[in-house]
Amino acid sequence: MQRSSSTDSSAAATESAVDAGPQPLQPVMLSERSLILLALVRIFVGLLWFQQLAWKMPPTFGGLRRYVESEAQHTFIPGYSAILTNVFLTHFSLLGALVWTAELLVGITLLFGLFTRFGAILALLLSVQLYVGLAYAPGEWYWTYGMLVLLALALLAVPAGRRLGLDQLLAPRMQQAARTRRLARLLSWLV
Amino acid sequence: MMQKAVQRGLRAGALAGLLLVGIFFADYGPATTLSTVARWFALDGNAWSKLIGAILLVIVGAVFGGLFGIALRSRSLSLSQSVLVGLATGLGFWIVLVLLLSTAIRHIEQSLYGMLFWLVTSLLYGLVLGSLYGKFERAGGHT
Repeated sequence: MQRSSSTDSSAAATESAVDAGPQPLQPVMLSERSLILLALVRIFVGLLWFQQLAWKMPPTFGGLRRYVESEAQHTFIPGYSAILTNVFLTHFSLLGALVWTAELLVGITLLFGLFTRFGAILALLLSVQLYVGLAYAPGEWYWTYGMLVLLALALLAVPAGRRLGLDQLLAPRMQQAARTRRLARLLSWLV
Repeated sequence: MMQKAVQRGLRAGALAGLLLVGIFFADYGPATTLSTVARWFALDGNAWSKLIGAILLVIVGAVFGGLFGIALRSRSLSLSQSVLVGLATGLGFWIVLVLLLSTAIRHIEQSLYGMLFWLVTSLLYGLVLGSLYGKFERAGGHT
């Protein structure tokens, strides 16, 4: 009888806790192994971008033109084809230099974990552009570019450069400086 | 003290070398770059050259890691210092293996991208070596 009463009071306590409203979510702490695994994902995504420099090297940016022409033919956004044809293809050397530099930056930032989230933002922009232009081109699997977008989003969401990366050195300094400086507050989010 | 530093360096270097194996596997070959590593040591041209390249990379990675441990034997370094010395070791890795062994001695030609690729991956090796060494040192205590 006494035992039953104890069970009842425990159940009542649980019920009142539930009635009190939703409990705040506990912050998620990643284990050291998970952080290292994320760092490895970051490094290999960086490698993915870095390797793509090989077929569009300056000064000609050779392999790039074929893809931009394909984008101009197969983009699913009305009007984007005209922009690609009349702006980008007519100033191809400038476009090539910008794309090559942007992809080099993505590769370097992700491989070295240096302002990793900045690299992820740049990767996201490039990936969305590729999705818009190439996802529905003949012979392409639309998820290829969709996955690039998702990978960039994943690296934007987590501080993947704070293990096996230079962000592990920058983060404490940035966070310290962020208390007094607005620019440091912005930069500290990018590591 | 020295022995523990060398052990930490060997372990960190072998793991960083293993990461390079993964990176060199993920190419258009696959693993053509691992054959290039075997070629540095004149051990290519057979069916096992990719595997030989992989094993050599782990060994060479461990050797450079061991040298890193010897250089730091009695110093208690912060993580920043460990990573910076690691990057310098990565630069040494590139100079010894790519510039001297591959280009000067074995006369293996490199494109501009090839040079950039080897430099970046060598520095990455150094970064991972320094990071792991610092991690092992903190985990085991500086003894």
